[in-house]
Amino acid sequence: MTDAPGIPDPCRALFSAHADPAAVLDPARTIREQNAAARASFGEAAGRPCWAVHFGRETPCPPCRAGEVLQEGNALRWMMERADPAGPAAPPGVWEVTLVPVRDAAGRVTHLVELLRDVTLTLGLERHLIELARGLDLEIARRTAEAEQLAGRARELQAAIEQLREEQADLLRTERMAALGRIVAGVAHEIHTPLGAILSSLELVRARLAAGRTDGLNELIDLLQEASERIRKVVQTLRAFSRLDAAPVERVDLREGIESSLALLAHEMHPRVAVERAYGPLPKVRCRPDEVNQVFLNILRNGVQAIRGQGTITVRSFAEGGVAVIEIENTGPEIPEEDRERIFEAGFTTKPRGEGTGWGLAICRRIVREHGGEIEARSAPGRGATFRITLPIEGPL
Amino acid sequence: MGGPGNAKIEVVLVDDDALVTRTLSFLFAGEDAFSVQLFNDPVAALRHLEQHPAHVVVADYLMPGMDGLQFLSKVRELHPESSRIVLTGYADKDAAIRAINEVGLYHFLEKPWRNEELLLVLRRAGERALLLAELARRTEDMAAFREKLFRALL
Repeated sequence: MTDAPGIPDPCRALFSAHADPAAVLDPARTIREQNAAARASFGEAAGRPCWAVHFGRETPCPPCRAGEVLQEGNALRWMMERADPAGPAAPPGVWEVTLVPVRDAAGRVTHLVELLRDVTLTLGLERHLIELARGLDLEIARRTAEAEQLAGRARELQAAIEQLREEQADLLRTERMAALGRIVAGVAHEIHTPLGAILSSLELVRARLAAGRTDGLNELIDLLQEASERIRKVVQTLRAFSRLDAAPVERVDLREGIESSLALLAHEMHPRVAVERAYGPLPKVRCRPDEVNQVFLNILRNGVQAIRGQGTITVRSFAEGGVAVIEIENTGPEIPEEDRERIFEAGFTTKPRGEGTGWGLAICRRIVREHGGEIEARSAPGRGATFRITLPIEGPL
Repeated sequence: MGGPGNAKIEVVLVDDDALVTRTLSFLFAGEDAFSVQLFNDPVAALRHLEQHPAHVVVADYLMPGMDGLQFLSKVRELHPESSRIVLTGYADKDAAIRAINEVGLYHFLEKPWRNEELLLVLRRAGERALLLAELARRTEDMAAFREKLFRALL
């Protein structure tokens, strides 16, 4: 240690006690001095070139930057890989090399202090961390993409649901208008027929009066009277059915709605289809009368259409623990078991093309459920079909 | 049988509503050009038509038991040369189009009808049927004549 002129005294203690291998080199990179850690790792090596001792090489290491340190006088640090063991406790791996220039009083670089640090594990750990981080990034990116995709799908579904809802609302409006149109067409017939009789008879009366004839005048005036009464009755029925005078939600006797629906259908029924009434005691039900009447008309009309030739429609009403029950039974054909639920689906119809839209019963179910009730079909071979409508007497509306 | 000008037009009219048939019986009572049979039941009308052909058959569109279209298509099978007319208050354009296409309808009359219009349509429908019958008769005559001529030449 006496021939180690380069290291100033205050640094010597640091050099000796440094935990990693450290060596003092002359400008030719010959080892002049080693600290304890260097001796432990590489053995006693003073007087030998550093590349041979530290990196097991016969020539200087290609990445070595000693030249720059000597020339520019600044410390430099880099990393080098070592393939073979270079000493008793120095396994192969990656080493961090730091060369620190040592100057004399004139400022010339006279020695180099070489600090060696095995960074194999650190590097491995770093690499592992980097890979981990990259993996995490990938995972995050993947999850983000997935989440975005899901969000996109959800948005598409939302839009599709929105559109379906709108279309359904449109269809419902269309169907309600079509149902109204059918009622209007039927009612128009009920009014146009007596009106035809009135206008025709009036002309005949006028012609007789003009010609001074009196034959048949009494009969013609009777006809006029009768036809006018008929129109008045149709209008009364229509008012009762549409409940023009009623509040949107009101307590009503459901049997009145059934009766006005039956009156509207009278022309389609008489005399082919008979009506039997089995009305039991029934308190007034809180509901939207115009909508409930539409349900009755629809079920009754379906029944009339289902009956081929002669038949009977039976209407029953009774109360059962706070619930009003209306049963409308027809003597038409059985509804096959597999259809008994499907008939309430929108667009399902068993009628010939052009006769039914398949929306009538779907609307009925919707109306009844909005009232907190239920509608279902029962049927058996040879026993026709029964539609059972239940409505809570104190409805939710 | 003379030309279409002086033959009576045979009409069968079915409407389940007695108000209509009663009113029309007064209308037709004053019309000599027509011989009209009124029915309230399409089945009875059909039974009558099986025995007695008519030039013009009028039916309501909505009738119990058998609707106007079923009735008129049966009439078409029985007497294809008859003029078929619907007289209805059922304000449904689809029904009208179907009627025209399915039973070869001659005319679609709406209730409330005007007496003048109804009589005019019935007269034209009757003349058409008479002309068709006349045409059929002449065609038959012609065929018979041709047959006779053919034999004479042989």
